[in-house]
Amino acid sequence: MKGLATIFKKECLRYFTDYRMLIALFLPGILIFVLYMSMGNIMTNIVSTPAIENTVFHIAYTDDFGEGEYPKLVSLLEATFTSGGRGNTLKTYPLSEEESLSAKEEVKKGTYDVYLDYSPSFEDELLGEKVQTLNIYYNGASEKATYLYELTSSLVSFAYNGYLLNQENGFPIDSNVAEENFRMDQVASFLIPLLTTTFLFSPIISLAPESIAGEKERGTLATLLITPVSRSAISWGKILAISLASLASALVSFLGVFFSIPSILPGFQLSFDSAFPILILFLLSDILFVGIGIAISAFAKSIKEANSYLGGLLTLMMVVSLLSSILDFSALPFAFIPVFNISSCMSLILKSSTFPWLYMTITIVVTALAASLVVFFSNRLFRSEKIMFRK
Amino acid sequence: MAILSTDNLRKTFSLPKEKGEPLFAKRKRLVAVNQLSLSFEEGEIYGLLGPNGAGKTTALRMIASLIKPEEGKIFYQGEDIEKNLTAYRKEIGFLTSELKLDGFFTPNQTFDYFARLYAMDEKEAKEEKEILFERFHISEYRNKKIDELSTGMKQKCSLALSLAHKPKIVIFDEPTNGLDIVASQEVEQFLLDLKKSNHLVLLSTHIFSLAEKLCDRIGILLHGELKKEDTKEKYKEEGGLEKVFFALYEKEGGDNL
Repeated sequence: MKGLATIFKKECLRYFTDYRMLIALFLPGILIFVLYMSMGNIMTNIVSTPAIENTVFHIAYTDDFGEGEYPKLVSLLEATFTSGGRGNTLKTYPLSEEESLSAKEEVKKGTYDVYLDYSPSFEDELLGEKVQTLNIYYNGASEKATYLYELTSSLVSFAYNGYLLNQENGFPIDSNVAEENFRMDQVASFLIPLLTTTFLFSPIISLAPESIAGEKERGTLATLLITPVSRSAISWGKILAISLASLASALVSFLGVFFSIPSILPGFQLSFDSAFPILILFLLSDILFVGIGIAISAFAKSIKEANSYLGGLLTLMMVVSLLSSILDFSALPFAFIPVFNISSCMSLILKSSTFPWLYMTITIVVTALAASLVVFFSNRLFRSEKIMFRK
Repeated sequence: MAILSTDNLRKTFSLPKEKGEPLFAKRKRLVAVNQLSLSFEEGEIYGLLGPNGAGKTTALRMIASLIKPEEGKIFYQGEDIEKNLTAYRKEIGFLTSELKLDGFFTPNQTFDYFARLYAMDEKEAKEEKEILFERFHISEYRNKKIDELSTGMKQKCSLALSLAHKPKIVIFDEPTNGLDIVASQEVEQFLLDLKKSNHLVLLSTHIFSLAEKLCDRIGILLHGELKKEDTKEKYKEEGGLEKVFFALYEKEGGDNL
């Protein structure tokens, strides 16, 4: 096809040298990396327990235990602190009834880290029929107070019932026996298809409207159509250039996710067995999405019109992608639905224990067919006077 | 023998649906051009004159092979253009006043792009570029982005580009629309120069003075049909182009056209 290379080069020159275009194409990927890394770090800081060492903790309690007597819970806490090896010490404050009235206020001020409010004769009445209460107050804004509160709460059952719940050496254990990766695979199976669809389609919104609707608007399309270059060559030149630019943009975005994923999904690793099929789906989807973008741009009278169609379509694609990764669409008939099957197949690859060969094969064939059809349709639009010179 | 001729060209367009019309009702059609037969000689400037919506642009687009006639044929050097469209397109230069070049590129880049699309020899393209850029005073601005150029300079760039491949037939749809008086003068002079160098120039206009000044022959289009065709001298004998046009216009129904 004569002229295809010339059109391809000119379009690429536009996409890869116009700084506005470069910002639209590559900034999202960089921002994703920065954003996800920051989000990951913030989440880690929030979730993880701080390692507190060489600190003096202050614990107050209602003094209803007789002179020189500690509540069992406080004794247990002291023992834990002594054997903990972190150099932490515990100061205890038995409070009279009057002092107890202002205890919560003192916790708020930071005088005490934790205040244990026992119901009268708590330990003596524990085995009786009357229900006993123990309220533990702490200031959640203080890391130190929170630490002491969690430790205290975790020791309540041992102090008063003689057993430890999900504890080992005085510290909580992770009682969920599922492999860490399994949980992360679930998150990734929802996140990756959604991000892939968004990354692949977003650059098309910047590229496709300018490519054809823009030329229509400027009147340069007529000048182009009158050259000896065939309309198929014009259409293919534009399709290939947009595919390359959108793929480059999507890859940058994908790399942004890839490098920030350990931060946001700790423990998740994308194996080659999963990454390679996803990459194939990625490439096929790109051609399909570019074909859709080109067809819409060819149909639209102006950049504005093309943008409004493509913006709406992106939202629809995201919803489809979200649904296909959240709900169970592993039954084979779903593999025959274009676009929908891409996200669904990616999701299955990431969360299934066995590789979904048949689903994947059907998805590839259906996507390739849909891409061919859309590209063929775009070519037909280029030949249609009614569409090209629509007023 | 005429270098280019049209035989009974006809083109219709479907009209937008009117309010209250049933969803699947057959669309009404507008006859844009009907039974248009013209013939053109080398070294002449032919003007199609008519009001807006008379069918001038549609006629020129068909002759430029941009759109296909529903009926009728176009012959270049006696041969149906459909038989070798690629060869015909190499002989055509087409410019419309609606054209706004991509502002991101420079005149230099845009010229090279079109020269390559027309598969021009690199050396020949370079020589032609120098001639045209010099002719339209573009050389100084050749490496500036088109966005940064004045409206007149942009139009001159468009003009130079439509001639990049040295076409024998030059088709201009409203060539001086949007140009200032200096740029208009330059374009008019250039069209006269093209005529001198034996090119065929086809133009559409609704400006009587421009048609009388430039054209050897003028065809009046009303309602998609050629109502009169004559030399400018003949129009002068009949009292001038404007008078002849309005007489025809009234006869055809005036505002009801």
